Amino acid sequence: MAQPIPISQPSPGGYVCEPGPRRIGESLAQLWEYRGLVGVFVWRDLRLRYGNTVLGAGWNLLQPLGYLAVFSLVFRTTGGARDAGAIPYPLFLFPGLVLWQLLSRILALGGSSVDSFRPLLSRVFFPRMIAPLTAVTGAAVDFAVACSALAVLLVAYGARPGWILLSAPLYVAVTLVLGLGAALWLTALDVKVRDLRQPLAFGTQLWMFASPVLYPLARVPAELRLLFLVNPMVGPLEGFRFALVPGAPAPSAIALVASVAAAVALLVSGALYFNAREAMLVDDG
Amino acid sequence: MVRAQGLGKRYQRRGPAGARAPFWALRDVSFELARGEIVALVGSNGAGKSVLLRILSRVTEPTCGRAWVRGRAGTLLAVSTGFHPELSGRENVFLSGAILGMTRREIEGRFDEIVDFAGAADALDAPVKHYSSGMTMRLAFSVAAHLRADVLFLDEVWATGDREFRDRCARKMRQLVGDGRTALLVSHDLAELRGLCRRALWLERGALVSDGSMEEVGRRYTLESAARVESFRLGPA
Repeated sequence: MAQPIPISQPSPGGYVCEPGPRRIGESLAQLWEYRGLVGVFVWRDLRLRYGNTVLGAGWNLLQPLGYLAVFSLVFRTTGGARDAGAIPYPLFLFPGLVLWQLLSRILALGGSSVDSFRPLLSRVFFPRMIAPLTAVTGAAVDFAVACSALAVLLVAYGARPGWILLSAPLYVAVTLVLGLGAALWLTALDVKVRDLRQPLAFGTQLWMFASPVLYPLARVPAELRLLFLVNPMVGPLEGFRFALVPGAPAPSAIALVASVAAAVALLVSGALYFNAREAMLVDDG
Repeated sequence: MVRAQGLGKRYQRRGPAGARAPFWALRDVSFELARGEIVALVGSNGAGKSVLLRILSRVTEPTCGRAWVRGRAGTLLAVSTGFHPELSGRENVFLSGAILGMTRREIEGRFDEIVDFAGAADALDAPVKHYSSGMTMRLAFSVAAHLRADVLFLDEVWATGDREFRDRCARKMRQLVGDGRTALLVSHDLAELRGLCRRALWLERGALVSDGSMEEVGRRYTLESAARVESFRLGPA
């Protein structure tokens, strides 16, 4: 029998199997190594969702366009269109809807990512954070498609945003970070708290009504406004509108700071918690 | 290439009264595989073979102990890993290949080989849900068989397809491991294992009961299992 090769520590091409969560730095390095898988899974998701349908990716426009149609009509007749000031209501509404859909998509996909990855989790190795990352990337792709519709709308209304348009990606970035943090928490908790989907869908809907999507922040009574600033989506929503629609009010600085702080806190805490509980995803799932 | 030291795995099972009942699926398992060794892992159902392979392929963590794997590892724990019934055979080859660890270029380079081996050339663009289960398994196994890994962990992937395909698989396996790969194979089909392995590890109720030549361990295992009334397939002894 051949002499066993003495292995005292793993060589660069190899690994160690040991108990206990890895250090977060190692986990992130490994995540980077496996980053190609995000593309593969996002492709799989898109292919399955839209591959055999007639409209293809156009389907994901249905929800914001639906909301747009219904709420524009409703508020036109109840006089709510006044709320948006000088801006036509559909023009006010659409950017907020599109940005909100990015977040709600991330939450929905993130909440169900354990389900879609469950068969793989027990059979093949990949850094488990790939799952919530896939949710965020998939939602971002949908968002990009929705933005093209948004661009069409802006052109149709003759809105010329100006240089402030360049700040739009910042608000999107804050939303993405917020969403990723939430997705990490949701995926990690999904194993402990079975079936988050119902409360999650309900909670997201409620959150939307509590956010300045259908109405501007200015409409909120002064007493409640401070409470509103706790909502980390206030900043990005007002900001996104400000960047795209001339005449929209500027976002409050406090709201923006609160958003960024909340997003970073959620991301960091989510990553740490997920990393600590990563092993549970397979064993308890 | 592979070294395990005191590996243990505990699961928390809920007992009948709802009480927490810890269950040790693996207990103090230690062994070493040298480069080029093809080793069989045998044991009755529930002995912990799959758990051991899962730990070695990083799907799950050990509760205690450590294992080192040197080189690139390829694992196939369930035959259709990554396959999705709605996607075509071609798409599934790329998807499964990527999930199992191949780069896109590697898959493209071996695509024809993979398809030929499985005999799936005609049905490639049809959704896999229209394939016979045999065809699906052949294609899935073919993807895994073309992994260029230094160390292979394979769990019961033999029971797929007809005799002719299984022979082809066995020959492919022999070729793969002949290239100097290290492998740890789980199977209940001792005939297949005898053809490929010269060494065997025998796991029983989580503990390593025996580590020796395939012949010796295989013989004792066969006797022991025949004595226990258990249903599994015996190859020609």
